[in-house]
Order: sequence, then structure tokens, then C-alpha cells
Amino acid sequence: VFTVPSAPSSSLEGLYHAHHNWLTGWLRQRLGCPDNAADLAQDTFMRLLQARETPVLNEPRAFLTTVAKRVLFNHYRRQDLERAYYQALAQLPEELAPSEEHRAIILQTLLELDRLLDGLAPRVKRAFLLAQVDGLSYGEIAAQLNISLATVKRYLNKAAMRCYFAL
Amino acid sequence: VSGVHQEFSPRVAEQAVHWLIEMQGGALDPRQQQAMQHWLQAHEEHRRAWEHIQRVNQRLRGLSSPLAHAALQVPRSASRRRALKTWLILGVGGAAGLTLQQHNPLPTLLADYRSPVGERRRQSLDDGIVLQLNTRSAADVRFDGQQRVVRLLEGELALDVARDARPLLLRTAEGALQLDSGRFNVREFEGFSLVSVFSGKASFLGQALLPGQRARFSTNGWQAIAPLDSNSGAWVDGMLVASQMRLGDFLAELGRYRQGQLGCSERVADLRVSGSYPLDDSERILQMLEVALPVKVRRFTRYWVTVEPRVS
Repeated sequence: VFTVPSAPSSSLEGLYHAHHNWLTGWLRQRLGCPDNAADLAQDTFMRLLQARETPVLNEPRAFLTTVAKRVLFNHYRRQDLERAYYQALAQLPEELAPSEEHRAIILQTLLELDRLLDGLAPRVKRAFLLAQVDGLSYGEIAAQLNISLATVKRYLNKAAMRCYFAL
Repeated sequence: VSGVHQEFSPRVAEQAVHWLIEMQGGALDPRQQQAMQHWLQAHEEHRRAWEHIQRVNQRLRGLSSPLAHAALQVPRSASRRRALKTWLILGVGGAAGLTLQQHNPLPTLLADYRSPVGERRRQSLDDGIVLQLNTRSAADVRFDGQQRVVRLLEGELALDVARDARPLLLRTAEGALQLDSGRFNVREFEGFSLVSVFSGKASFLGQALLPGQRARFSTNGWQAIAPLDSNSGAWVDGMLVASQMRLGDFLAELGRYRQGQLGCSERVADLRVSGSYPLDDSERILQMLEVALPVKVRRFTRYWVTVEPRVS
């Protein structure tokens, strides 16, 4: 009777040992940066660890790259957002720049918010920020975006369901 | 990121958002107000959903407006667009609504007594005890045949304790204090609480803080015992009392009573402020500062205000 020599590849540990180096290489090709590739490979396995169940795998590498693409997407998204954030920060007059401590909180909140509002039209997001961050009235928002009051409400409703309840 | 929001049904979420949009659109008429109250009281889940929204809004109002607009309107880079395709195929599984602030949201949301930002609450408890909550504060109260426990979950409270044989325990994040009949003020900070005794005594492991004293209370017991200052407990009368207070500290204090960010430029942070200021109108306090000091109040948005040097 033959037994499988290595740990079964469907267990996370087995998956890690068998494919970790390969995945890191795959990510490095896409990123061109060894440090980030190692981090993102780690993130990919972390994501699997947090998943409720490990799926039965016929094609472990195809599965890993699918998850890794998702991790990669988050990485790019974070990079884009951080770049825009630091650019805007550099342009702020000193009096308006938040404190170091506050900056970290703001960035974290923005990353979360970005994830939740992703996929909404830019003007829907803008209406939401104008209402909840800037405290503008619906009339002011309508004037600024050149839309009707009913549309303002519709936009806010849409964004609010996402932001507060992820729905 | 397991937030309380996950317990909300889509139906309740929809209703809560509906009321939010209505209320922000302007004052509700009496009929709507009644309907809103009715909805709020109809179910525990409604109340929690509503408070969840308030909490998240609190966090949103702390955002810097130019940073938020810049970061969330950023166009996707090419690499991001490529990856997005995969993202859409996979769906946004496991996403959750914006979570609350880092510290322990759950107990505060479910607290027996709460006060929102800028408001004070007064509550008579059994046995002639009066509990008052300052802005953005929360407390639990457990009274039974054996003992009476008040737990400060967040913010600041004042307690008037009438004479009674049973002990009153005040719990903070740091430990439990025994309060003998008298008047006390306790405010929670990061890692310690500040306890003031106006009358009676507050004891921790046999060591008592006496009338006229205030001190930091942490797991190590009392520290930095000092006489009460004029601002101790002044909020109960709706006042903020400053005596040669740094402007930076003064604004931090005032900011507790307002939505959003209130701060100042380094160049004016060390100016000194004195006087008694009514807390119920913080906008007026800011106007008064412009008269008393060489400063200008710059309102970037309704929720984001900074005090700067006045250029004459």
C-alpha cells in the first residue's frame, strides 16, 4: 500500500511548504520587488488561514494565484490611495495638517472607506464625503455637483448602505 | 474586523439609513419625529443600528476633508485596473461595514446610560445616588441586595452619593474604587483615570483620596495627588473654567464637546486662556477667543476648525 510521501497538499501547511517559494517568485515577477513579494505571499497564506475552510484542491497553484491576485489588487489599491493621500498632505498648509498620530488614524479610515465605497461612481462618493465629512447641506451638495435634491438623497442612501452596513 | 454591524439585518440597516438621510436633510416635522422615535424604541436592534451610524459618523467627521477627497477620488492605475477584473469575479466576500473606533466599542454601545457628543445627562439612581454623564460618555449601573456598582465605560461622570450602609463601587478600566457618601468626579484617560473628590472619600486598597484632592488612578493606585483646580467638575454646571490654560490644552478640552476636529497652529498653542466659558455654545467661545487673543478661527469645514495667528 502506498501512502503519500509528503503532507497532503490540501492542508494549509502542506500547501505552504510545497508552493510558498513558487508563489513568492510568481509575485516577484509581477511586482519587481522581492520584499513586497515576500510580504504578499505571506498575506496570501494568511488569507487562507483566516478562511473558514480549506477547499479541496485539484489545482493548488491555480487556486493560490487566484487568491494572490486578490491580495495583489489590494496592494495596488493601497499604493494608489497612499500616494494620493501623501500628495494631498504635502500640499496642505501647516495649520491644517493633522498631527502624526492623527494621520495614521485618518489613513486607516480612508483605506477602509475606500474598500467599502469601491465600485460606486465618483460623484456618489463625492456626495457622501461632502455630507458626512464636510457637513454640507443637501442644497449645497446639489449645487456643487449640479444634481437635483432627489439625486443627492439617492446617492447618499447608496453610499450609506455600503459605509455603515457593507450592503 | 468583527463589528457589531454584522448583527444588523438588511431591513433594519435600510431603515436606519433612511432616517439618517431624512434627519440630515433638515429638521423633521413633528409627525416624522414621532415616527422616528417610534422606530427607535420599537426594537433593541433599531437603537443599536442607529448608534452604530452615529459612531461611524463620529469617525468620518474626524477625517481631514482635503485628504479624504484626494484619497477617495484617486483614479485607478493601470496595474490596479488589471487586478480589478479578478476582484470583480471574486466578489467582495467577507466585507464588513466601517468599524468603530479602536477601543472597545461593544460595551459602550450597550451601556445602560450614554451621552452623545456635546450633551450632558443626569440620572437619579436608587438609594439617592445621582449620576451625571459628561459629553460622549457611557456607564453601566448594577445595584443589587449585596452591592452597588457603577462602571465608567467611556468619558467622564460625576456621582453624588447619599448616606447609605451599602458600599458603592466605582469601576474604571484600571480597577475598582470604593466611594463613601460624597461628591466625586471621574474621567477616563488612556491608561488611567482622573479622580476628584469634592466631599466624602474615595479609597483604593485602603488608601483614600480626601475632599479637595484629585489624583490619577491606575492599576498602581493613586499618583500625582494634587489640590482640585477651578475646572474640576465645572462641566456639571455647563462651564469650562480656565486659569492660565495653554490654548492648545483649552481647545483640546473644548473639542470634547464638539463634533469633528478642533485644533490650533503650533505658533499659538502656548498662548494663555483664562475665564469661565459656557459649554453649550462652543461657537461663541471660539468667537470670544478671537476677541481676547491675537488669533483667528479658521473654519475649514463645519467639522474641522483650526485656530491660527491673526495676521494684522
